[in-house]
Amino acid sequence: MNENLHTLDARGLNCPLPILRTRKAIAAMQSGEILEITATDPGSVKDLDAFCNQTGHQMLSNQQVDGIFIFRIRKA
Amino acid sequence: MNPIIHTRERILHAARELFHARSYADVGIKEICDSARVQKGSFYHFFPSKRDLAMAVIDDMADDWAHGFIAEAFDRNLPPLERLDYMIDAAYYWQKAAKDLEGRMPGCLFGNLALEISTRDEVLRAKLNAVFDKVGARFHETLEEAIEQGLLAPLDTEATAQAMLAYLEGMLLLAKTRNDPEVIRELGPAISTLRVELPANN
Repeated sequence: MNENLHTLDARGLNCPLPILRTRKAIAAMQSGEILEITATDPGSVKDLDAFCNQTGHQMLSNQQVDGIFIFRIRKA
Repeated sequence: MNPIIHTRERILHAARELFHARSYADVGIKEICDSARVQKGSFYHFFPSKRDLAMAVIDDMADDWAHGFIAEAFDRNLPPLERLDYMIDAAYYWQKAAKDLEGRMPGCLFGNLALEISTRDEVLRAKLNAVFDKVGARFHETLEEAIEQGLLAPLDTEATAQAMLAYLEGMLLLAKTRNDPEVIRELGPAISTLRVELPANN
């Protein structure tokens, strides 16, 4: 297990809650660490893209598995 | 789910969407019933009048807010002034998501209803005013806490809280009029710089 991988379960939450939880989780991390977010709100795809564009954090991957969205973001 | 609760929830949900997308006056009971797929008789069983429905919609939405993003943004574990940034973020992403979906930025449901109803219905006006008071109270306690922690010099917390509420609602109105949620991202962060000083002789 990568010790720098943080996880956030945002399943069942709707906009804007996944973004707020993501922002809080990232605030508690060190630069370069990675956050993996699982979400069910389809709007979270656009939201997290916009969030990364605006904050400078890097979207490493974004996949959908059985209706669950899985994002990996590296903290700037 | 209990079918009786389910019917009431469906009516509430449909009314909330329609009031928010259009307006209170523009949406009739028939349209709400059609959208919720319930009979008119069933509607009147739960809501004797359209005003009763509007009261329930306001309660429902205020409740969602209080337990949803208001609770998340005004989190006591966050430094007080940072809570304001989270609240602006919440408003921005919420309005942006709605615009991405509908093509129009809906604005603040409470603000929209307040503008429409305040001169027409005293009971609903008072209800909306109570919602604004609750949001104002969150700003107020945030400011009090920031002063206690030495993060802010003493100021008129009550008047500053009201100024923040006015700024928030005014900004949402402007963004709605421009149909552009970016207005929230551009103007929003300045909310934490608002200050109303205490009277000089105090």
